This record gives sequence, C-alpha cells and structure tokens, in this order.
Amino acid sequence: MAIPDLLRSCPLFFELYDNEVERIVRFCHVLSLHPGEKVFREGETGNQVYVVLGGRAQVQKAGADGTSPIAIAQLGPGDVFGEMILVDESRRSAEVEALSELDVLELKYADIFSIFQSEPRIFGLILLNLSRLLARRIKATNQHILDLKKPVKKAAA
Amino acid sequence: MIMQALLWFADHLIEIMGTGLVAALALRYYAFRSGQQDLMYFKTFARGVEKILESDSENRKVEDVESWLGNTLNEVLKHLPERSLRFSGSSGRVSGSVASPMGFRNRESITQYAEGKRSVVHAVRSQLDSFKSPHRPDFQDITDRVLGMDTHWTTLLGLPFSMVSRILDVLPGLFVVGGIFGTFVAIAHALPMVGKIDIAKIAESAPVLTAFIDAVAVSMRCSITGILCSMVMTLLNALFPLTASRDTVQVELERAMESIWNRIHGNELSYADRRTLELLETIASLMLKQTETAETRRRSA
Repeated sequence: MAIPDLLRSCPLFFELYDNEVERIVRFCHVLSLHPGEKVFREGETGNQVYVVLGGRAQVQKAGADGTSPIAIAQLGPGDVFGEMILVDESRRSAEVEALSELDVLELKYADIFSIFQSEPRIFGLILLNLSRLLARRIKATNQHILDLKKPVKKAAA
Repeated sequence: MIMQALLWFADHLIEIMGTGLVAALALRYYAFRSGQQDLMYFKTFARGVEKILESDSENRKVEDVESWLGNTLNEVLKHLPERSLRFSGSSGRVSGSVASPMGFRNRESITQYAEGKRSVVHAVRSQLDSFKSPHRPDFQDITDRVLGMDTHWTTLLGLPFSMVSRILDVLPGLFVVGGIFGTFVAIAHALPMVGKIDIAKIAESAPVLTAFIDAVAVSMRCSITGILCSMVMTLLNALFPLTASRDTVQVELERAMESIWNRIHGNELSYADRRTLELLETIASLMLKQTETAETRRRSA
C-alpha cells in the first residue's frame, strides 16, 4: 500500500498532495504495540507526534488518588495525539494505552520543523491543520464541560 | 549521412539485438520471479483467511466488523511471508525491537510498514465499508482495488507493471521487424555494388563481388538473429506467461474477500439473493396453483 493511502484520513495532512505527505513521512518509523502497552506515560518528556495507523488506543489521565486512570478519549485510525509538543509543550499531559494491536506513526518534532525553510507551503498547511485540530478539541472540551455542568445546575435548582 | 547511420545500424544490428535479448531475458526473469513472490504472498494470505474462517465455529453475524476484521487480519499476518529480500535482509537494520522508556517495542520504517508483508492487510482494512454493506458487493472490484493499492503488484523496477508487460509482449514482433529492417538496409547497401561488376572482366570484379556477398550475408544474419530472438521471447511468453500467476492471485484473493464478507454477515444470503429466492418461490407456487387449476378444469370437463 502506498504511504499516503495510510494517512488519507489524518487531519494533520489535509490539503497536502500525496507526494508532499510522502516527503514528510518517508523517513519516519511505525511503532507496533500489543494491547495494554503504553505509547507514553503522563509527565514523560518527548518530542514526537503520533498518528494512529491501525487499531485502537485510549487517552487516560491518572485519577486524583493517583492509582486508577480515567479514560478521556478513544483513538482510532487517522487520529493524532501528542500534538502539544508542536506548540512548545514537551511534557506529556496524559498517557496513551493500546486497547488492541496498535500501529502508530512516530513523527519527530524535527521532521516537521526541518521543512520550515525548504517547504514553507507544507509547513504552513501542517500548522493550519494543527490549529484546526486544537480548535476542534477545545470546542469538544467546552461542550463536555457544559454537559457536566447541566446536572450540577439541575441539582442546585 | 542518413545512409551512413543506417549502415552502421545494420552492421551492429546483431550486437544491438543480442544486447536487447539479454536485457529482455533479465527483465522477464525478474518479472517472473516477482510474480512468483506475489503469488506465494497472496496465496498464503488467502489460505490464512480461509483457515481462520474454517476454524471459526460461530456462525452469527459480526457486530463490530472493524475489530473482527482487524483481529482476523492480524492473525493472518503472523503467517505471511516477507514481500522481498530487500526487506527481510535489512530488517535487522531498519526494524526490530527498540529500547524505550516503556519497554521494548517493535519499530519499523514507514516504507517497510506500508509496502512490506502488511501491505495486503492495510489494503483489505481500507475496504471496511464494502464488508459492512448488507448488499453483496462486487468482489472482483474489491480485489482489483486491494491489488491496485499494492506497490509490488502495480510496479516492477519502478515502472508500471502494465507497461513492462506490454513491452515484453511486443518484443518478439520488434525483433522480427528489426531483423527485416537490417536485411533491407544491408540489401539496399549491396545492390548498387552489382552495377560495378564487369561481367567481361569477372576476375577484376572479384573484390566488388566479395563485398556484395558480404553485404548480402550481413542482411541474412540480421534476419536470422531477429527470428531467433523472436522465437526465444515467444517461447518464453508461451511457456511462462506473466499473467498466469496474476490471474491465480486474482481468483484466490477474490474468493478470500467473498469468504470474509460471508462470515461477517453470518454466512447468510444477501438481501438481493434472499429477495430473488422469495420471488422464485412465489413464482413456483403460482405456477403450481395454475397447473392444479388447469388439472381440475380438465377433470371436471
């Protein structure tokens, strides 16, 4: 299968031509994890963005007692995670665990920022896509907060 | 100038055709070997699918198609051979387990991941919507799409496979044409020499006669070489056709796709097939009723 076909549904590469996507990712690596294995842990430092190529994963954060993790989101093929490192946040804010056999593409910070000079169009589109992605996530988080507040307000009334 | 170039071409045509034949044989061997590798790979995949489905005792409709397909394909993946020596030989360098803060993980290059032994798994997974469809899909179409995504299947030495195949198909004809062309050029070169032969002084014309015979001999050699090269290529095309292994792959893969769809839908008949069967049953009962009515009328009459 051609590399761009694998990343067709990845929001980070929207509006990029196939050859452009291939140019960015051709030197990247794919990690394969078994269910229960972790891509990274909360608080860990890292300089990679990941894209799910196959399988399912769960984003989770340690609970208040520090033992049982709370599931925040589930990830499927095409989903991006660990993207906060692109906006100057090297410490992981949550951990990601494989729910099934999981394949993730590992994109290094340097891989993306190295094209700033040579391919400004691609670089611009990736950052634009990243902004869209973050905006969508903020919107979803706001909605989630609203949904959580509703029962509290009802109970107070 | 043009005549000089043509003469040079006719003089060296045998060497040119010889080199062409060697190159064509090498290309043909590579194409054949690549076809055999593809055949082994896809056959193993198809058999792996059939084996898993046979051992699956459940006959219920699959609810979570995505997970089921993922698990089944992962199971098949374990038995798939590597796609090429390039990957299997360099796997130690490119991939393998790497130490990370999380322990040991399998890590491989994206090219190896996309074009290596998982290639067919990714392609089949991308057809998820067709497998979910309650209406029986066109399995030949699915197979074409799956194979079309496979870089090994569609290209050979970086060239589109269809192009290589066409080149190999037309080569026997080209060799014959080349041979005839060399023959005519050499004859065209030889014929004016006949005019220089003085019949009265035949002994003095001996060098011209020798040159004439040499030119005619070159023309004959061109034809013979062309025909021989053509025969070799035609025989190879007939004995080891490139399309034979590809047709087998197509059939095996199509069958595997059909088996996957059947299993996902609980080995039930599709909606269209069910409706057709219902209609046929209705028609059969109507015909029976009509025959009975006709029989009753005949008896009462």
